[in-house]
Amino acid sequence: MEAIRAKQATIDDLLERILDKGIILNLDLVIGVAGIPLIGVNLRAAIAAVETMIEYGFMQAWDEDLRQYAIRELRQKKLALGSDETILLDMFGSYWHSDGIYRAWRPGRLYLTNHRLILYRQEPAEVLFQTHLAEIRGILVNEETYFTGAQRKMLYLSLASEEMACLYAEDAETLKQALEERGVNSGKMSLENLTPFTQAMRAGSVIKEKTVAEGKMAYQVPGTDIFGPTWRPGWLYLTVERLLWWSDSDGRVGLEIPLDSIKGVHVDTQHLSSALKNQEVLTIAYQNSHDDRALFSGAMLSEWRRQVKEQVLDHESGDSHA
Amino acid sequence: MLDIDEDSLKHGVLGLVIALVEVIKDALKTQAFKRMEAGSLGEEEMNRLGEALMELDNAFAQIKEEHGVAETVQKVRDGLDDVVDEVLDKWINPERWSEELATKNIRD
Repeated sequence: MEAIRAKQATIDDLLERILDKGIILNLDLVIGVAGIPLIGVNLRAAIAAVETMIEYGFMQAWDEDLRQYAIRELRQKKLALGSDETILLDMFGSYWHSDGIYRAWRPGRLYLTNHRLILYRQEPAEVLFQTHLAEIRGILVNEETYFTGAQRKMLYLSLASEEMACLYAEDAETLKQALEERGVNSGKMSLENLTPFTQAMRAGSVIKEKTVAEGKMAYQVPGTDIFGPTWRPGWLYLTVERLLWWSDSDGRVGLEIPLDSIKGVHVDTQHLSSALKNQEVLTIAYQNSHDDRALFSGAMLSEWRRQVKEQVLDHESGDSHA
Repeated sequence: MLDIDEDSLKHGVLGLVIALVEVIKDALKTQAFKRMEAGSLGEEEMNRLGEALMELDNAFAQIKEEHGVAETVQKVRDGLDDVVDEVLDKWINPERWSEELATKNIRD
């Protein structure tokens, strides 16, 4: 009888074998230059499955400690519910957290109980947002652009503490319905009183005056030194005082033009690059230290041109009155 | 001119990465079964481990389906298996060395 290799060896088999038996690695290494030793490496490594390690008397205490630690941690991390509290709805969600310069979406699981609405993150464990249902003064579901660029339904809650919370819920409509069934009043909110908040998420911290128009708009950032001009995504705001472009990628104001230095507005088609031909571009001529031009690309450009023109004229007439 | 299709590049790189991580995942899974069999784990620990591994499996399946790289991943893994098989075959069967030398000599 002849021994034959019946089956192909796979990488899984190899790894299993290595871990099962364990390998010991001894490495001595000297790095030198011009025959003079400069750096010494003396490496002793043992790699094996924990079962094998324990068998040979390694890491036993460590194994026990780690497992005890995990069990203790898990006990603490459990979402604490009241004795008469039950979970009614459970879905993926995230919360717009804004605290000074730290602003971000914080994802977790959204739980609706008979008392509270809670956003809970398991790893690392933290309650990201919670409110008692009785403290919700108004609910509004609004479809807008999420940070990934997709259109999503956002859930806005106005709270008794005069604060406004912005949540993304996997199924915002169902959640809203469930909240209403629990007797939460949703009537007192409209998009009007929401706008300052949606702005605060982006440029609101720098715009204090009245905003006339706002929209998603790409701006051609002028080139510097060896870099040519590049198009960047962002938001364009037209206020009663200035035209302001908020850079999405940098999270700050990228361009600011006071209304009285705007010299001209027009829309035309341009070749932006070899791939983007015949694109509509909004060109704004303005007075900087010298004559300058800002190029924008986006939706409803002729509408933007009209709005900007109106604001500039308004602004001038307002000045002459003063 | 080198023509790189963005889609095929994504498939290739993503498939390679997923294949490698999957190999590690499978090794972890094997070890998990071994530990369970060894009997040192408590019941609650076993449940937790089983659940986590299942979630991991589902996540992998979902990623592969979402990006349509299941086939690429399988190909990479088959390729890795072939390499391992070939190297091991040579390693544990010294007579193959002389065979290989002989074939080389013929080619030369």
